[in-house]
Formats: sequence, structure tokens, C-alpha cells
Amino acid sequence: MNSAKVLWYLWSRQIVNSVKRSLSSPRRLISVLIGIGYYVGFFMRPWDRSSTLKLDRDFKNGFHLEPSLVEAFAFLIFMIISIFFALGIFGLKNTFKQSDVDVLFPTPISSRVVMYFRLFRDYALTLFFPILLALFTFKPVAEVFTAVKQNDPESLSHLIRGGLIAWLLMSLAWISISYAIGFFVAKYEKWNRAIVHSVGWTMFVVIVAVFGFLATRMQASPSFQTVISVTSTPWLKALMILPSAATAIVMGGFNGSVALSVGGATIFLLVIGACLAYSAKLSDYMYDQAATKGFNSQAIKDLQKKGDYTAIVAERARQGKIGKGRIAKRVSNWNFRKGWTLIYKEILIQSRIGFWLNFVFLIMIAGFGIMFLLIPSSKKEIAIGPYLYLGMTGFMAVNMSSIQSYSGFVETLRRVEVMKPLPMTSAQIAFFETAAKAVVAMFMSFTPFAIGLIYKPSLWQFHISGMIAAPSLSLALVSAIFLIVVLFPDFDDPTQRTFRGLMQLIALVVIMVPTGLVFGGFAYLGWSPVISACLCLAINIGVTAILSAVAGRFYADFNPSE
Amino acid sequence: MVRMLQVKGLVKEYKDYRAVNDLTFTIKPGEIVGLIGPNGAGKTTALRCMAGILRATSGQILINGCDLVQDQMNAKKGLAFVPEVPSLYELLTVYEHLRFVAMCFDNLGKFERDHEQLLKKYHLWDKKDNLVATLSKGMRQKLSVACAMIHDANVFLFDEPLIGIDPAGAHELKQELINARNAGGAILISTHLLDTAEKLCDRVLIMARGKLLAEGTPEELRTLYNMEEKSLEELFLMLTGEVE
Repeated sequence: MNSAKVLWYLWSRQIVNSVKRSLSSPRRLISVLIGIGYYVGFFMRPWDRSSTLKLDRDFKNGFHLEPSLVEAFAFLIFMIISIFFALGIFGLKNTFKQSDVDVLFPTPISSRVVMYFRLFRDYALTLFFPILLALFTFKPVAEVFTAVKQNDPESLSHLIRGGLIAWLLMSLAWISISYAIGFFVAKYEKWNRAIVHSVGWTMFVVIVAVFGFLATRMQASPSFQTVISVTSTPWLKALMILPSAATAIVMGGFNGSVALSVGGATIFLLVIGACLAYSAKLSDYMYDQAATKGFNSQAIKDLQKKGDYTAIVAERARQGKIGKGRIAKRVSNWNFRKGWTLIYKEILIQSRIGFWLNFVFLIMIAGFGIMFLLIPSSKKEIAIGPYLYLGMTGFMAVNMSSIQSYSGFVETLRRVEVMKPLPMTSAQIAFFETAAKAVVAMFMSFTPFAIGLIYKPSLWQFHISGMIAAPSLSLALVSAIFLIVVLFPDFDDPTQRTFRGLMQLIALVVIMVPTGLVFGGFAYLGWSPVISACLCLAINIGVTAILSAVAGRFYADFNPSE
Repeated sequence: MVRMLQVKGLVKEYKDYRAVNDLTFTIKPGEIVGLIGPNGAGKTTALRCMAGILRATSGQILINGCDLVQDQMNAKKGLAFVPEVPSLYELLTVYEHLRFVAMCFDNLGKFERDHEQLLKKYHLWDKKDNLVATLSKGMRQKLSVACAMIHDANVFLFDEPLIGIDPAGAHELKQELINARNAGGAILISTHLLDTAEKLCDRVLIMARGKLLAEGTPEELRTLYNMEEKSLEELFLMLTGEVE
């Protein structure tokens, strides 16, 4: 039998069975229906005949596709798409499953056929991207599309045709590059880390240089003219050879220049041909790479499905991807006694596994929150921007810290046989474990507001109130999460896992509501947010005390064998 | 005589360490050979190289006279591999999984004719329409063995086949191996179970740290090392202890 047919059978049956399975139980069916409902309700809005993008009537009637602007935007779009492809360039090894290694690889199906099948399957999947984009942006762009169609139907048809051809070629080129690089790395296994680092750093430098250049020029003179001039810079066009070739195809169709389109397509065909030939030559390395590297990512993928982040970190450590850490080394010299050693343990683990990740998240949360401070507000009204800043920053920070503490508590229960024999009562262990998780969570919810204070000291009342209220919320939430985890402790049971997730969501809402009401009510009365924060602090400490006591009692009775 | 599985100077390196170091042996038709060694000896890596999953750094593997690198397709046609922990396609049904493997070996006609018998033999008939994802560990092991038996293989590679299956399953599998041997198959079994190896295997290969330390029937090895009164376990410990 034709090998490609066999692979098609495997792939198609898996898809059909996956769809059948997703409709087989009420829980899965509800998830699918919610997903479809969300798409239809949020993006399509069939009951709403208006577009989200309101165009002025004069603008609509006079709208024409300006070639220089089309060229600039085509280049920018293809450049961004290229960057996305480039970021996933080392993802080849992850496309194989362990079942491929154990079942498919020992069969007489040629590795070259498997490679081509995979390559075209990956390629076909990338082609869904424009469809998804069209589905999700249908409503907002419908108005622009109609205007262009009305005024410039021929140009629009050339643009769509050229854009589609360019996309088809660009997508295939990047997939082929990804395969060729993957095999190159597999072949020179001894140097693969050096190759991956070199390519990664080169990409980083290129991306920073390109966007730095764009940002500097746009900051100096923010106009469409600048976009046109920047995107036609010779060094940028040369550096971004594939986006330039794609733009040439689009503009060739748009301007009626066959030579330009053929030139662009030739560049793609050369790249695709060279990469496919190289990949075919080294296709045997594909099995080797998948078998040796794929397992590592498979183990992590399985844990990700379970949401077991601590186990993921442990798995990464087993694979030698997590070192002792410089910060952790310093922390390890600190001295603690009795129950405080549990806090020491938590700080040590967090500094080893999550310091930089937490740091990046904190900066992102702070940056996102600060955006709300830029919202202009009238002096007569309640300053909506700072309150949104307070609410959104607090919500993100508290939510993130709660996710982390959840994973930590699962680990607490998993290590119950190590913890309970320690010379402490169960209540003490429960208290210090909660406190240990809360220390990290409180730090995570405090810091974004501290960054906000440095950024805009004039709004100190909001930053200070955030520094008071958010950590207290984290504390209350952490104790609620410990209670949930100890009440539903079976980590491998999917039903309990789902239920825990639901309870966690409810806890987040229930604990945040009083704080939200206090802040909202006091803002309405025109009182300082610092007063609201102090009241919230008192409420949240009370909630924490009650929840910790209850959780401690359950922890004392917790038996891992039951 | 046709040598069904020939391994010559097999080397497999990962970055800075050599998992298999100059492994050479031959398995003849109608022979069960046990590959024994401590954890990390390189048994699984060697088996994966022989199954065409890993590319050997150097050396040659011949299956029924076909080179696994130069003539991969023909070499693999006569080969069946059963991994230690069977990772199967979870989203195929039991029937579809077997059908897929049959198609891979271009053996669909025979499968369509004999599938009922095969499924019944491995107690999978009642579960033929169930997704593999719903099978227990033992049933997966049975399906994995059924996949190995679906085509007319004469070289069988089993990686720890008796781990994790119940005594009845183990008995059936041993019988299956003996049947395959009686039918002229060449069987290589990697195992930790030394008493099983001694009872089931015609010869053993003892590996440690990627190297082949000894090869022969248990009796030959005892004579060679002047340990006539000792068990294979004691011989194994003596040999592997020598390396460490």
C-alpha cells in the first residue's frame, strides 16, 4: 500500500476519533458548545448588524488603495508573520509523539515519506491561519473591505490574489527552513546547543534591531510617510529577504508587473527547493532527533495537560535544564529555625525555579497596569484610570500568585510523608506552609504597585492602597486555595481536577468581591483609596485566619493512602 | 546458515557520552537471546538502534542480510519491535491501530482475513472498537505484542517484555516467544529478570556501560569463568561488578 495513504489513514482516523470523543460526554460537549458560542457571540455577533469599525461616509467614498502604503503594510505584515515563524523554528522535534517513535518508526515506511507527509501536514495546518484571521477579524474589517470593494474592486482582487500566493509560498518556505535547520541541528548533535544558541541570539538581535529602528523612526515622526520610508530602507529589505519577496509578489500583482512577482516567487522557490533537498538528504536524522529529544518534551507536555507545574519544574531539573541558581545559592546560606524552615524551603525553591519567570511576569503585569494610568480623566469625575489600574493590576497579580500557590500546595500534599514526621504539629505545618506560599504570593502582588509608585509618584494613594490591599488579598486567597486542595486532594483524578479549578475560580471571585465593593463604594463617596485598603486588610486577615484554621484541621486528618 | 540479526561494531554516542560501545553479536534462526545488563548499560539504546529508531553513530546492523541503513525498507519488513512501555496511538481504536500497523507492513489483505482470530488470541476482540486511550496497561501490552505479530516478522526485539504484566499474561507471552522461536524466528529480549533469561533464552549477552562483557549459553559462561556451581545471577554480578 502507498505509504502516504497509510500515514493519511493514521492522521485522519485520529482526527475523526478526536472529534467523536469531544462530543461523547456532556462535559466535553458543553466545552465545545461554549467555545463555539464564545466565537459566534464575541467575534461574529450575528444579531449586531453594525461594524466595530465605523468609517466616515466621505472616507468610505474616497477610499482607494495607495500603492506605496499597500507595499509598506504588506511588508510589515509579512515581516511580523516571518518573525512568528522564525520563533518556532526549532519546534520540529516536538511534532512527533512517543507513539510515533514506538509504532511508526520501526515499520518499513520510508523516513523520507514520513518527513514529506509531516512537512505538508504542518504546511496545511499553517494555511488555516488566514482562515482563522478572517474569521476572527471578520466583523471589524468588514467595513473597510466593503469600502475598498466598492471603490477599487480590481485592485482588491489583485491584492487578495497576490497576498494568497505570497502567503502560500512564505508558509512553505518557513516550514522547509524549519525542517532543514532541525535536521542540521540533529546531524551535528555535539554542537546542537551552540547552534541553537547562535541562531536564537541572532534572531533576537535582528528582531531588536528591526523593531528598535521602527520605533525610533516612528517616535521621531509618527506618520504613514515614515512607515513607507522605513519599510523601503534597503538594509531592512535585504535583511528581511522573505518578507521582501512576498511583498514583491503582492505588488507585482497590484501594479501589473509580472517580472516583480516572478522575481519574488523565484526567491521562495529557491529557498524551498534548497531546504527540501537538504531535509530529504538528512531525513534519517529525523527519527534520531524525535527519539532522543522528543521524549523530554513529551513528558513535560503530559504534565502540562495535568497542570502540574511543580512536577514540570522537577522534570526540567531532571533533564538538567535547571541549575543550582546563583540567587538560590545565597538564599541557601540563610538560617531559620522550627516552622520558619518551611518558609526558607519555599523561598529557596522559588528562587531556583521561578525567579526570572516571576520577574518577567511582574514587569509585564506592572507594564499592563501602568497603561491604565495613561487614560485621561476629568477632574470632576472619579478618576477611572487609576481605579482601573488598581483593579486590573491587583487582579492579575493576585490571580498569578494564586496559580503558583496552588501548584505549591499540591506539592505540599504530595510530600506529606516527608512533612508530617517533622517535629511540628499538623496545625503548625499547615500554618507555615500557607505562610510560605503567601510570602511569595504577597511579594508578587506587592511589587507591581511598587513599580507603579516609581513610575508615577503623584498617584501615591493608589499605589500605596494597592501595596496594602493586594498582598492581603493574596494571603486570603492562598489560604482558600490550601483549603480547596486539601478538600479535593486527588491530583490524578480528572473530575477532582476540574472541580478544584471551578472552586478556585469561585474562591477568587468570593474573596475579591468584598475588596471590590469597599473600593468601589468609598470611591463613590470620594474617600481616599488608602482608607479602603486598610479596611480590606482587616477583612482579608480575618478571612485568612478562619480559612487557615479550617484547612489546618483537614490537613491534620489528611491521609495520602485514602 | 542465514544469520537473521547481525550487529557489527555498533556504536551510539550522545553528545559527550557513548551509550553503546562496539557491540557485536549475531542471532541465528530459531534462537532466543537475552540481552541482560544493569540500568544504564545501553540495552534500550542498542535495541532502538536495531529497530531503526536511533541512527547508529557507527557500525552495521543487518536484518535478514539487509543493511538497516542502506536498505532500510527491506530490513524493517522482517522486524518486529515491542518497547518496554508501549506508547500507542491513543486516538485510534484497537482495530484501527492493528489495521494501521498491517498497512505499514503492506499486509492488509492478511489482516482483513485473520483479524478476528488475532484479536481473540490477544483477548482484544471485545475491545476492538474502544479507543486505545481507554485500555489498561496490561491490555496495551497485549496490543503492542499483537502489533508485533501482525506481519510475517522473523526478527523480534523485545524490550523488557515481562515487566508490568500479570503472571497469566507473562506465561502467554513466554509461550508466544517459544512459538516464534519454533517457527524459526530470531528473538532478542532485553531483560532484568535473570531467572527468566536463564530459563527462556538459549544464549545471553551481558552488557554494562555500553560494552558487551560476555556472550554464550549460561553453561558456557559458567565454564568460561570457572563458576560451574553458581547461578547466572552470581555470574552476572561478578561480571558487571568487574566493570564498576
